[in-house]
Amino acid sequence: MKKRSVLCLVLAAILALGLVGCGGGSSSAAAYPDQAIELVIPASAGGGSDIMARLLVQIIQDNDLCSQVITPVNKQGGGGSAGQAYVNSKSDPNYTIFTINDAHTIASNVSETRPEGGFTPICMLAKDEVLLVTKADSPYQTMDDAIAAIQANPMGLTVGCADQLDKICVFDINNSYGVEFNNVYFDSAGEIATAIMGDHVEFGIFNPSECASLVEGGELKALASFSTERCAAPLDDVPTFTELGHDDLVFAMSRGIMGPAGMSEEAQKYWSDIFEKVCATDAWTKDYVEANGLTPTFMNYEEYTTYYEENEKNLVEKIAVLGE
Amino acid sequence: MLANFQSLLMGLSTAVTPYNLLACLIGGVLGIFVGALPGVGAVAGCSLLLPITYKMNPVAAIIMLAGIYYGNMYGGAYSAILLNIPGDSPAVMTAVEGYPMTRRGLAGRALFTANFSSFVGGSIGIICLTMVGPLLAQIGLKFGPPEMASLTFLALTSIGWMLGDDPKKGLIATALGVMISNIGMDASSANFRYTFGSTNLLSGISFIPLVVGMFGFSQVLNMVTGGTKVDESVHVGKLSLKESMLTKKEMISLLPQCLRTSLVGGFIGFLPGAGGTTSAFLAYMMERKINKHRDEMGGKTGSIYGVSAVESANNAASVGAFIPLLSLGIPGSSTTAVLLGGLMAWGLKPGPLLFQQEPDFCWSLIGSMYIGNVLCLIFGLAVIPFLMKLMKVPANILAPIITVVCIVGAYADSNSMFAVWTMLVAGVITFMLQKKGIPSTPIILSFVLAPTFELKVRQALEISNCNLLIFLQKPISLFFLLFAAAMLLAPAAIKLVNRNKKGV
Repeated sequence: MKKRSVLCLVLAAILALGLVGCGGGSSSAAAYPDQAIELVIPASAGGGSDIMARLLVQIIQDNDLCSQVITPVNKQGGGGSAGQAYVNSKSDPNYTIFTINDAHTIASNVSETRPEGGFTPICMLAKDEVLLVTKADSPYQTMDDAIAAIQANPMGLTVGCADQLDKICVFDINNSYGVEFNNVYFDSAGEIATAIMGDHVEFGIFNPSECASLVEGGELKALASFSTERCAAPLDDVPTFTELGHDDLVFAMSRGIMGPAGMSEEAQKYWSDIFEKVCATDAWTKDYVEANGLTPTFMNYEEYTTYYEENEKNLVEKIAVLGE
Repeated sequence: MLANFQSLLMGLSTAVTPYNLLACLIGGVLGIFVGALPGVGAVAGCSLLLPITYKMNPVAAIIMLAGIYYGNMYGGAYSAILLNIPGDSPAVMTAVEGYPMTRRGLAGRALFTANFSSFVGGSIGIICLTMVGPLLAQIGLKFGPPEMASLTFLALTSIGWMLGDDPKKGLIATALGVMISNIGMDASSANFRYTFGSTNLLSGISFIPLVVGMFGFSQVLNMVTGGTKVDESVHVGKLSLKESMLTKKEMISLLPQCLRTSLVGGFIGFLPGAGGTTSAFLAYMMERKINKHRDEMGGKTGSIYGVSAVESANNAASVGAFIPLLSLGIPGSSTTAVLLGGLMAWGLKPGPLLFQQEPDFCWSLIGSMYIGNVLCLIFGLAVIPFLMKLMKVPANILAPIITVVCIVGAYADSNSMFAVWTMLVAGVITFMLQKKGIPSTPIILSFVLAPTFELKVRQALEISNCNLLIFLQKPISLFFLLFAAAMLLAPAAIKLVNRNKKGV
């Protein structure tokens, strides 16, 4: 008897798993959307994009904003391009949406997963600020200290980078100050933080959510931020590069939602409207935007389309120079 | 330390409230099931359940998720021992040592050993976490790219010992593993390697389909072609828990080695980016060299001592990964990265101040780990008799079942048919390689270790502006390199000495 129930349980689990991948293929003339939607996260579970995407789904469900089920799907790899390739493989462009940030935009161009004519921009959600960070008790207590040190020893100090976007930041600092910081790739901001604390590298590029608690805990110190205005506490005593006289060093990583190439305008507008409502909820502004030190910058599909084109062009130009 | 002890008692008292105890039990049992199903690892289990826990209070939520995490380490051994399908990478060596025992009808003893050692390993890991967690976190910081590169180099060189009877064929296998691991995007420079324009290959070959095919599906091919004959006479009538128990003497003889491997495993587990595989593997290799029963290990018979070494080390390592998470707010493994997301979603601020700001939360979690380990042990032992029934299933029924499990496991890894094809191709190729006497274990180990080695070497060289001396200038790195050199040269040296003796 017990043997059978164990067997049943195992079989049920196997069947349930098998169903995970089954999605409908039919579409009729009924009002959009008439089937489940996949929200593709081109990053691994537990990362920044994943946390954001799962919160978005939860807010949509809690507020009954969408009549259909939204299933988050993680497709990590290739710096975002594996997820984009997966999106491109979908036959119906109206039932898949995905999260994007500037690093993913670069990946789509480098790995040529950007479809002919580009993806369909739906909306911009927020901007993530970027900071240059060092160890709390390092000899470089201000940006001036750091610049003096690197001038004395070109390529002798290293900045940890977690993606191509971080490398662009280092490249921009080098250009603006006329110095030569070395850069090293790490798999995640967490690894950069451990490398800084263990004196293996001197600096790192971080988002506020990645370094705020370590700064507060007295392990790390932020030297300057790429933001236009100062970041929220506990990073409010960190000067911006603009304050330091380098107003060309202004940059923030945009986080948005995209649709596949060929998505209908009806679907594009539908999702843009839904996310506009999401961005107005307390759950979003307090638990995500404020808690992670982001800047709320909602743009609907029309504004975002213009912004995205411009932004993509900029990023591609920079990465091309970086590659040389 | 006394203050720690008081806090721990307080944490224990929170953890044994009925609600938290239930959360712990559910987490542990779910973890064991999830771990036993190949393809659905702890990462998937935790991230699927994470949204459900948003409504729970943070203490109960983390207790449940942590339960899934370490329960998973118990469960991972089951499919490795019974079906030769390691659920995740640390369990590869469990399959190598445990599955031969199943074929000899000793699955019960292998499972019991795995449970017992998991319990000891887990407990030692937790005791270390309680006593010296923050100190260990500080030591962990000393391990930067050059140190990790040398440590991984040490692990890679010790693959040499498991090359099988013919070192040439073993080397071929190792090289194959390295080559497969190269497929995909090189994250550091964003260039693609061996992807041949296929979008499926952009993120490389993933571990689960590969290992499920190489171990599980190739086994099916062996069964079908009559290569594997289960000795019909041994396994009848030996299905009760009592028959599976180890004798008191055996358990006592396992204890000192559990202690050794747990300490090694736990230590490596909390290093940044090392993970359960490196720690389980290095602990196992250590036992192969110094264990009293080393002659039994790694052979065609399997050995409880081998199973024990792997399982105690990887459970200690899984607890070790909590050390950087709790003391610094930095995840030590991909599962703890999911837990980090959870902490933030529950409104906690993981970081160096977590223990000061939320002592109740931290100590309840640690307290629940002690209890959770006992619960997992009891549950694990209780299911052994049922798992043993699998042994009664004849090969002609078992083979299709394993095939289905392999296909589903591979599919569940990334919800794609490409993974299923990868699994099938890996199985067929492994089957053919084995016919030619090329062992499969070095392939999968070098596949796991090579990317870490490459990344760490490149980081070290980028930091030093391509000065190779960085590996010798760092004392810890130098120590590992000398150790690796000694191990590489030892067999040759011993041979030379022996020859000289004979000559005299």
